[in-house]
Amino acid sequence: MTARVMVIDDSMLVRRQVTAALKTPGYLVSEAIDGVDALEKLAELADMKLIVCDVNMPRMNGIELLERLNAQGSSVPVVMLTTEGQPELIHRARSLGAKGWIVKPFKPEFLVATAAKLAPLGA
Amino acid sequence: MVRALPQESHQVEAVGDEGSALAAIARKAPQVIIFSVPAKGGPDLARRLRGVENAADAYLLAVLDGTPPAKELSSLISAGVHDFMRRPFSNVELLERVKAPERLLRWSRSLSKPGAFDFSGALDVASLRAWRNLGRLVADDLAEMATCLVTVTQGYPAHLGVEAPCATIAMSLASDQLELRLSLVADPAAAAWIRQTLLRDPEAPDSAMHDALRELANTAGGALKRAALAETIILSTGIPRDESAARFPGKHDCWSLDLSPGSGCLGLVGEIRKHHNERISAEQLSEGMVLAHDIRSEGGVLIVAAGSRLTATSANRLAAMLGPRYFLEVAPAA
Repeated sequence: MTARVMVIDDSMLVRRQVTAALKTPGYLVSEAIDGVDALEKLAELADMKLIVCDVNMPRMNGIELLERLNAQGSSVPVVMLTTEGQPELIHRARSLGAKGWIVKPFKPEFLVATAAKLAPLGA
Repeated sequence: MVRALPQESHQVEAVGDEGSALAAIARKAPQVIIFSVPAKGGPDLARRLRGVENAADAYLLAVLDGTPPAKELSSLISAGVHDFMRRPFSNVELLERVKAPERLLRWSRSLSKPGAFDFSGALDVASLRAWRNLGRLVADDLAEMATCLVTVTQGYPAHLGVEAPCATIAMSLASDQLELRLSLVADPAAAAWIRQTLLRDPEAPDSAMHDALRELANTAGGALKRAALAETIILSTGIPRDESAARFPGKHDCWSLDLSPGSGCLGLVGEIRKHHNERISAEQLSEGMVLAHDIRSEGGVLIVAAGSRLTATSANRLAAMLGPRYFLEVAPAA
């Protein structure tokens, strides 16, 4: 069994790192470069099990994307992956339904453990 | 040793072999583990002790017989040992060694402990602990990101040419009309290290290397931002971009970040700039601008907080919501 994950980050390096970390245990990883790109791609991919999302991005940031996903009634769990550590932002993300907040630089094994909890491969 | 540690301040469990130790650690999650280093395999034993699920954050104190060679000591440190005692030792020494992690904890807390704040004058960013320690803060995050050793020295690396690849992240303090910029400049060996270590592709194109350097600048910005937060300073972060290295030598606060031996050097440049906020109509809002004050509804409900960096999405939404006759103060786009 596998599960599809979307990583949203304007940095290609971060997208590569997240993809490499999650591909190893068997996730299928889709990529988007910001919130606008993510919304377009999510509309085409109905089977998304997890979203890993940066906060500071051009066009539409991670918090704005959370607001849009909420408005759409999305139930896909979202984990924020960011250099930000401001309590107000973390609280805002949590109140919008985010399931986790990982501060960069991140440990790949921690990301994999988070993915396994929110989007188990065997489910 | 059990008798040397006061029962009123320490819960001590003594075991006589490795199997019992691993079981006790898993059961009790101790804060300090004291173990006797065997004649052979000391570092491996230390790793096994630390490998127990509940031992990851434990302070490891090794008891040595005689004076082991320097290589073994460094192997023990690499294996996670924090401190050593040599036999024979006194009860007083044992007690003081066991108190060391408490002292470290207090020291660590003191670094982030807020002191007194004077808001009457202009903010002096250069005097912030976060700014003074910037080189070390960034080096620590880069070391964690790339699992490598990063050595910090003050000053701009003299060998970096003006054509060296460079990425900059701008951070705004709109309320104080200040902008901070952090730039990372890579020498050829560091650029090769980025390709090899971060991108895992020695032939990666320049565009990929520049993208990775921008993410390193973003990481540096995050390190500064989190440290500044401990001093009640909230910075609004921009999007990292490519920059010219030609402007830097000798003009700003600079550090040299030397990567693991032979892996090159990154120049870190910190700039503090005064800028003036602008008063503009809401319809002029655009991506990157930072709000200098809160925007609230007529009922006083917070819509967007001061310090928010606008994206195209939020700029368009606010412009539509507030209309052309609503004027507000913003810092220039970052």
